[in-house]
Amino acid sequence: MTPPIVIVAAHHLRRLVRRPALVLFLTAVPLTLAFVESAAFGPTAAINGAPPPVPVLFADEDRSGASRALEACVTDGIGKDPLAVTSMDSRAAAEAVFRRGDDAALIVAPAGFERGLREGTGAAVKFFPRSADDGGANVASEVLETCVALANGTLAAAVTRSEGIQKLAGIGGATTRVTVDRPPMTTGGGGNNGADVFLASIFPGLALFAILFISQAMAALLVRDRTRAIHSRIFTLPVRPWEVFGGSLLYLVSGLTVLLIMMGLLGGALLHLQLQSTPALLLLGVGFIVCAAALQLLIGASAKSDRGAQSIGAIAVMMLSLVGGAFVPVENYPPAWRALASLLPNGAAQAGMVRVLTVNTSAAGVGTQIVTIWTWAAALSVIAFTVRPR
Amino acid sequence: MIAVAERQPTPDAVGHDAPAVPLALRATSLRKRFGEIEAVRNVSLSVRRTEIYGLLGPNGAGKSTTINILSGLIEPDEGTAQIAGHVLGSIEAKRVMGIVPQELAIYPELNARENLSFFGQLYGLSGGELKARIDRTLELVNLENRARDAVGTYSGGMQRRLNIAAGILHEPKLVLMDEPTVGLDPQSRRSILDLVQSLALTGTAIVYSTHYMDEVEQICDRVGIIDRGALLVEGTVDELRQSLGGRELVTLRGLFQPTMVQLAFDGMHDVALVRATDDEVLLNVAGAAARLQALLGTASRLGEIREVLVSRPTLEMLFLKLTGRELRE
Repeated sequence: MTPPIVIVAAHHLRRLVRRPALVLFLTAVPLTLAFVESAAFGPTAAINGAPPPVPVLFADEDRSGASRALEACVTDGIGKDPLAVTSMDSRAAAEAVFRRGDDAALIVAPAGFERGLREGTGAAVKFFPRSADDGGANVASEVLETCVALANGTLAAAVTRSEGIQKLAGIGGATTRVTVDRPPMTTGGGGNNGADVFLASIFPGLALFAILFISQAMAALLVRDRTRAIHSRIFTLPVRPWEVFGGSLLYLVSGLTVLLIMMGLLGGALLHLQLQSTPALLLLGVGFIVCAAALQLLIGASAKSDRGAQSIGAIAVMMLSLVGGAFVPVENYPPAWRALASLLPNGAAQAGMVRVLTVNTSAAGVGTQIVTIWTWAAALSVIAFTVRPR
Repeated sequence: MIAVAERQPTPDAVGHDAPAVPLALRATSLRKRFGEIEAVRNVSLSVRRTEIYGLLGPNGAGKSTTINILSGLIEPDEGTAQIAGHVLGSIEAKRVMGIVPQELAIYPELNARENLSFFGQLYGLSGGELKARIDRTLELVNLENRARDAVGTYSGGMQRRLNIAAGILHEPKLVLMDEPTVGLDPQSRRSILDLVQSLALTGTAIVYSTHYMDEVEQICDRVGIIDRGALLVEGTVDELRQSLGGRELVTLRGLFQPTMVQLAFDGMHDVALVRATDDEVLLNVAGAAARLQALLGTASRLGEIREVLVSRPTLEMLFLKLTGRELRE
C-alpha cells in the first residue's frame, strides 16, 4: 500500500499540475533567467571574458628580501592574472582566515627562508591546498612552482649565494605565462573555461533565488488549505501529523528538484555550463531545496493568513538572496558580511556550486558548504514540524 | 435521484442503557474553555448505530466546538469519549469516523473522483475497492454524471453533497455533520436531508448539528438542545414536544407598549411572557384555545391587535421555554 507521505505529496503535485497558470509561471521563471543570462553573457557576447582569479593567501614569516621576491612573483608577477593574493603578516593569522574563508590555498614563506639560502642548507616554501583535487589550488600550485623554478634558476646562475639572493628580486617582475590546466569545455573532462567560468559564477546565485521564489508560490497552495477547512479535515483522517508534514515537504522538495534539474539542463544547453561533480551539485542543490521547502512551511505555519504568509515569504526571500549574494557577488561584500553569507543556506549553496562549476571540486571539496546547508535543512524542518498548524 | 426508504425511529432510542443496538459514540462530561468563555460545559451524549442524533442550538451555542472535540480536532479540557469503542483522537477512532465540516473541505481544482480518491487512500482504501467505493458514493450523492468535472464548476448544493461524500466514502460507523445545509436553497437542503436519512438506513450513526429546527424535526431520532455550551435537554422530538405540557405559542402582532404588557402578563397563571416589543408580543400558554378570549381581552387594553397566531408545540417553543430566547437569535 502506498505510504501516506507519498499519497499527500502526489496529491499536491497533481493539484499543482491542475493550475496551468501557476505551472506556466513556475516554468517561465527559470526560462527567463536562462534567456536573460544567455543574452547578456552568452558565449558570443562573452567570448573575451576572463576567468575569475583564484583567491590565495600568502604569509611571509621571514620578511626578508628573498621571501618578498617570492611573494612579488606570486602576487604581481606570474600570478598577477590567475591569482588574487591576500598578503598576511603572520602564519597564525593566515591560517585563521584560511580556515573560515574561501581561499583555494595558503602559501607560507617560513622564518629562516633566506638564511637557509645563504647558508646553502636550502629553503622550503610551504603550500597548503584547500583540497587535493581543487582546481583553484592546482592553479596556485603551478604559479608557485613556476616562481620557485625561476628562483632556483636565478640562484644557480649566480656566482655567489649572496649575488643570487640579490638577483631574486628580479623574479617579482617575471611575466612568464603560466599554463593553467583547465580542460576545455569540448573535452567534457570537467571545468569551465573563460566566459563560461564567469557564467558559472553567477548562474548558481540566480538559480537559487529562483528556487526560493518558486518555493513560495508552491507553498501558497498549502497555506490556502489551512485558511480553508481542508486542513482541518485532513487532521481528522487516520494519518499521523508527521505523515501530513512529510507529504507536504516531499511535495515541495520533489517539485523544486525537478525545477533545479531543469535549470541545470537549461544552463548547460544555453550557457554551455558543464554540470560536473554531479553528486556534489546534488548534495548542495537538494540540501538547499529542503531548506527552502522547510522555510516556506515554517512561514506558512507562522502566518495567520495566506496574505501574511506571502508578505513574510517575500521579505525572507529577498533578504536571504541579498545577504547570500544572489544579486551581488559576495566578493564585493565587507568581510563580516561575507562571513555571514557563508553561514546562510543560500550563501553556502551558492559558494559551493560556484566552486564545483568553476574548479570542478568534488563533494569533499565543498564539505563545509554541504554540512552548513544540511544542518540548516534539518533545523528548519524540525522547527517547521514543531510549529506546524494543528 | 436519491432513493429514500421509509424508516422508523430507532427502538428504545432514548435511554443510554438500552442494549439492543451497539453504541457508535459515547461522550462523557466534555468541557472546553477558551479563555474566559466556557464553550462546552459538561456535555455527555451517546449515539447508537443507525441513529440520527440532532444537536440543535443557535449560533455560538457550542455545537461546532462539541463536533470539533468529537472529531479529534480540539482536545477537551475534561471528559472522555469513545468512537465505536476506540479512544477519541486515536488512529483507530479516526478510521471508523467520518467528518462533514460546516465549511467546504474539498479541492476545487480537482474533480469529484480525484477528491474522493485522495481522501479514500488516506482512509486506507486502494485499488478496486477504492474505485468501487467511489462509484457507490458518487451514485449515493447523485454526482456520478459530473464526476470528472472540476469541483470549482459545481453548484453550491453539489459541492455540499461532495463534501458529505468525502466523509462517508469509507463507510464509517459514525458521521459527524456540522451544519451541512448552511446557505443552501430548499431543494438542495431537501436533497441532503434525504441523503442523511438514507445513510442512517445503512447502519451509520449520525450526529447532525444544526440551528434549523425543521431539519431536526424531519430527520432526527433524538435531539439534544444545546445553548451556551450546555446540553439542556435531550429526547425524541415527540418527547420534547410533550415536555411542554400541551403549551402553545400565542403571537400577537400590532402596536403595544412593552412595559405595560410585561406588567399585565407578569404572574398570570399558565401564561409565560416570552417577549414583548412595540409590534409583537409572544406568550407561552397552557391550553391556549380555552384562554384565548381572555388573553385577547387583556392585550387589547394594552394596545392595538392586528394579527393573532396560535402555534402548536415546537422545538422552537421548547428552546424559548428553556432559554427565553429564540433559536435564530
